[in-house]
Amino acid sequence: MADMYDEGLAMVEATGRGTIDLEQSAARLLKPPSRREMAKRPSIHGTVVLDDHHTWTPTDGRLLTVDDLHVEFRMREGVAKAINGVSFHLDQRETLAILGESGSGKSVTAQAIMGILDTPPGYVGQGRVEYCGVDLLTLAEKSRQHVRGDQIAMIFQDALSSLNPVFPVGWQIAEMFRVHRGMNRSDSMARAVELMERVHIPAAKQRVKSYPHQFSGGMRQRIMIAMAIALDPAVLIADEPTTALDVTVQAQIMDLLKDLQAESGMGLILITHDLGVVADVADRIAVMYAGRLVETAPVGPLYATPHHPYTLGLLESVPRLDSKLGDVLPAIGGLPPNLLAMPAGCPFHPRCRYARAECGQGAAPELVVTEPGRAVACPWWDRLEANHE
Amino acid sequence: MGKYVIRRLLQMIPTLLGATLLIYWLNFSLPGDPTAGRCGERPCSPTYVAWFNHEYNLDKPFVVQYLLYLGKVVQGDLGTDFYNHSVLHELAIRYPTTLKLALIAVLFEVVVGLIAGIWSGMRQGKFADTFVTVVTLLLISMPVFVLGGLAQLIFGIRLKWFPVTAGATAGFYELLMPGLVLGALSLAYATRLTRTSLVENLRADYVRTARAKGLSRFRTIGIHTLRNSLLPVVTYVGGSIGALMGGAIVTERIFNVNGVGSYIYRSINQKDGVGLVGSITCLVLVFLIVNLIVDVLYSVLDPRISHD
Repeated sequence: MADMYDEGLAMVEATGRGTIDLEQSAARLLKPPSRREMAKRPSIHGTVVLDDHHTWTPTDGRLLTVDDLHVEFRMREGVAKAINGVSFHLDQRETLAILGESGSGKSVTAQAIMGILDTPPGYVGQGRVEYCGVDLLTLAEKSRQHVRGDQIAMIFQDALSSLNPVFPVGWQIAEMFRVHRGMNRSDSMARAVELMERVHIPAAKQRVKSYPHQFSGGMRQRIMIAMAIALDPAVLIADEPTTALDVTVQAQIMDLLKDLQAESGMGLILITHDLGVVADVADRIAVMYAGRLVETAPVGPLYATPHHPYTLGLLESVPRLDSKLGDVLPAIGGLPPNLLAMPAGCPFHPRCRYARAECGQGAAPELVVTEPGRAVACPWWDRLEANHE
Repeated sequence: MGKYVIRRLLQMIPTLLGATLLIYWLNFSLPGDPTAGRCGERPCSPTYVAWFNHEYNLDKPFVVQYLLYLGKVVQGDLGTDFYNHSVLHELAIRYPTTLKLALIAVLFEVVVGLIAGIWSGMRQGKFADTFVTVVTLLLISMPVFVLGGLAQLIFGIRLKWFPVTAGATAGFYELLMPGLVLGALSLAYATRLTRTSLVENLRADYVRTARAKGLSRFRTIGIHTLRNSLLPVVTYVGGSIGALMGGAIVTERIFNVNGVGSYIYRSINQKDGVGLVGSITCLVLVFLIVNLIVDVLYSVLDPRISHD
């Protein structure tokens, strides 16, 4: 292991890639693309209008297929490629965890699936997001609104800022029924109370008229969840649902999500950077780095034998109870790459301790299936595994 | 809430008393002789001056003058001005005109300001946004007497859409141009505030939630964003009423409107303390009441603010 590590370091120094990167990014910053060039870049604008009563039925239990998704942010400084060809799928009753650092593109992926990217500056450059066989990206805004909240719902990290501060929570939950189901005020309010009870909010009937700031953090997240599951969506995307909460409340919220999933059979996409949360609930994990998937695997095997050096780094940087006092917690050195000026080759190579000269050349490595149900975007994964064992 | 309103109403008493004292004292400290020019080209006779000073308590020390005045006010009499007219009566004649003027200005400020602000905020960075920004900048940087003169020249003299001046008995039509000029500055600020507030709130997390709920763009902006965006605008509009009152003094002079503003101007010119204090205190009272209404409205609009 020591040899390999030294070799990798030597390679990094010998090729001096750091300097090349700096020059490249400087050149791009000096000459940002013009407005006309930006406007010319391809992006997907949906136009297909679906029948209002379109029925959504998954084929063979497959709910969602994301294929070669590209998202970029067109800014004055240049084009930031936030998502570069992400592909994954989600089945009924399945929990897929998307794992990665801040800025790796987890949330942007979720927003692209939901169709709530801020445009401009965010654009879906290419790719498909198929829900029950229909490519959502080709749908007109009107039709996507029917999918949003109704078929695919989403909950966010900070429930205090994600709930509207000036409307009662019951009103905000009931709005789902009023807008999507055309229900009247009193019926929808009754349903809101039911939902608040379903997510275990005590004294729901009395609290339905309270405002978000009158609840605790955990209760607010429950209200977010109640709002998201109001119309029994087939897919629930949870974007860091527990990050803003303290540890005991985190566990309660994850349990609640698990229970709700067991009741309704919805597919759950769990976006997080917390490996501890993932281990308990996820079926499969997709690790993201710099807008790409670098590894996908079922939970057990991924934790046991990570194939990608980045996954290994993430796992090592989790504090362990059995570590010795005074041991330094391992961390992945360096910073995630600048999305405006991505390094050539594997985007992780500048921080990878196993990097070789080849890693910094050509295109980024593609995901390669290593064993059934597992894929990794590193051609040297078997070395890592051998080394790990 | 009821308790809060009562407390605020009681707080108005010392505020109003303070205002009368301050204005009375400021007027007392003004240099000049109130009898100058009262008797045409020649100076007034000493007998007249003595009678005048005695009649209006000008021969007494400040504190005595003020207390005598206050004594009358407590009995519901605002005194008589230097023309020997009852101040209360003079104000009663002029208040409707000034209120009409202020109403036009506030309506203009709120309606046009909100629409322009929302329009500009929704088209951030596009032509509409730049256009609104340039126009508001122009309005902000132009003094009201220039704006008033320009309006008279263009809409009054050249285009003949409106009468150049309002005259003694002015209706809504005659007051329209003065009202628009009076409201223009506040309108510019209200527009910009609405725009900024809307743009800021459009990036808020709860707006993203609203979109994730599958709400239409109209509902997302019209209901979820606007309610939050209007909070600072309501505060500003409430405060701007004070500025409108002050602005009315200049605007009424430009358009020759026979309102409270003109009366205040005349009182200052003649060092007429009784007329001045009465009319300004009435403006202060209006300002205090409007602010109370705004504060109450604020707690209705924003549940996070409680007055209990």
